[in-house]
Amino acid sequence: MSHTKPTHHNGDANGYDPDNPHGFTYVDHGHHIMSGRTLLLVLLALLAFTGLTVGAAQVETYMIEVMGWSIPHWANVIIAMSIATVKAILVVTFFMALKYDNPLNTIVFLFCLFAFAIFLSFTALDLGNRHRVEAYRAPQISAGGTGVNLTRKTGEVNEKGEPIVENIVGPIAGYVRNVTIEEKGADYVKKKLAEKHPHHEEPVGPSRSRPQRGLSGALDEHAPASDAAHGGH
Amino acid sequence: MTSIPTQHDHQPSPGDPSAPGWKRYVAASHFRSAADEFDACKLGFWLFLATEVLLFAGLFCAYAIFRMMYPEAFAAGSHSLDVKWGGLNTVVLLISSYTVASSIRCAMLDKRFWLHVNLIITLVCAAAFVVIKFTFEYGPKWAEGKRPGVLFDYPLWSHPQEPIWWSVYYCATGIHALHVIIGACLLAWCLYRSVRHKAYGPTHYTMLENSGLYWHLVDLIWIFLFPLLYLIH
Repeated sequence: MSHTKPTHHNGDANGYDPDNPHGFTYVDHGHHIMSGRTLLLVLLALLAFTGLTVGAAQVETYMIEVMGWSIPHWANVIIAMSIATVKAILVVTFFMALKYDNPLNTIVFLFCLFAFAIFLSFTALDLGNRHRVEAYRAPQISAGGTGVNLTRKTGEVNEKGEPIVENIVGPIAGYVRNVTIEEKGADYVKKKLAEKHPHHEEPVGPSRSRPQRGLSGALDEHAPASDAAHGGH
Repeated sequence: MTSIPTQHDHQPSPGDPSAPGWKRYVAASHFRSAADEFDACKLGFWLFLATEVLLFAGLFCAYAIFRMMYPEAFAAGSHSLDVKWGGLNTVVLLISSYTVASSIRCAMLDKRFWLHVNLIITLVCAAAFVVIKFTFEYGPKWAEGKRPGVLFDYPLWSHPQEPIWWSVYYCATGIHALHVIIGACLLAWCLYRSVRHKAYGPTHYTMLENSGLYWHLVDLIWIFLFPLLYLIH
């Protein structure tokens, strides 16, 4: 059902056509009407891939936490992102109909993804390698927000009707915990944390992720170190 | 092969009040044809979608960088999200993407009743997405104190950088939810115009097509946000 646009050849003696002054010979292939069957199959494929990616994540969690296998940290990322990419290609190709569309629209979209890739990779290269490039400046640099010495409104007012502002010294997370410890006692917090991590184990093996920071690590300069080991299980 | 008209066959009858809106539509005078106008509008919309992708690129970049710096905090934060609600919202958005693609197909085939049915299902899905998001995710999390940045008030954190995770989570899903609401408004406007003016049919459906593209982009962003936030620990 290709629908061809007739090109204009009704110019004057010099070949000049006022309806088509630039002499375009662009042939449009009409606008494709997607078959209902294709759309439905694409939807079913997308739902199946959603089930697959959820299932893969659950299987992986099970293998790590119950069977104690060590699965490389990146395997999870690669599997989930590959499935997401396949789903995205299905949506763009069929639902957004780029397959049947003017190729210029596809070029616009791909160029945008290219810009995204540059954005992401150069930022990662920068932050991931500062310590290599300028190691000698490490002690002087405190890049990024430090997250310390904040103020915030408590929501209460003093006798003059002005909002009470509290000063937060140190990172917000440590401050919040200290306030709770002051109010309810250290044992309460310890008990609650133990309930939250019933099978707490120290992370072991090369599969566990570990913090990597360059010179922008100022965010956790003043973080309480003792409880950090609870993370990421 | 088929007698279904496209934009190339568009012969407007603006003076005929009994004709449906899509037959009365007259392309702007600076375009050679309705088909050229359609292509130009669509190219313009794809350029806009490229800027939308770059808007979300900033959020994805923030996710990537902070995850690179504090993988344990991101693992801990990701664990406190419920895959059940994220997965349900994925299914809801995929179904709505399918119904939008179907509604455009129905416009091209001049099936107005099914065009309306598909758009109504899409709007129901959009409402379901937002309700699930606020009732079962934002609401309880916010009440527990799992909030972004300086608003963070959850003493039982597992990693001192969890406020950063919550900042990324609320920014990414919040801006996405805003897009869901905007997309639903566009599609509701399309539905109104179709019901009231019979605005969309085989030879003119530009507004519906572009609103549909916007909706698919919202779906596309969620396809990546879902595994990044809910599945990758």
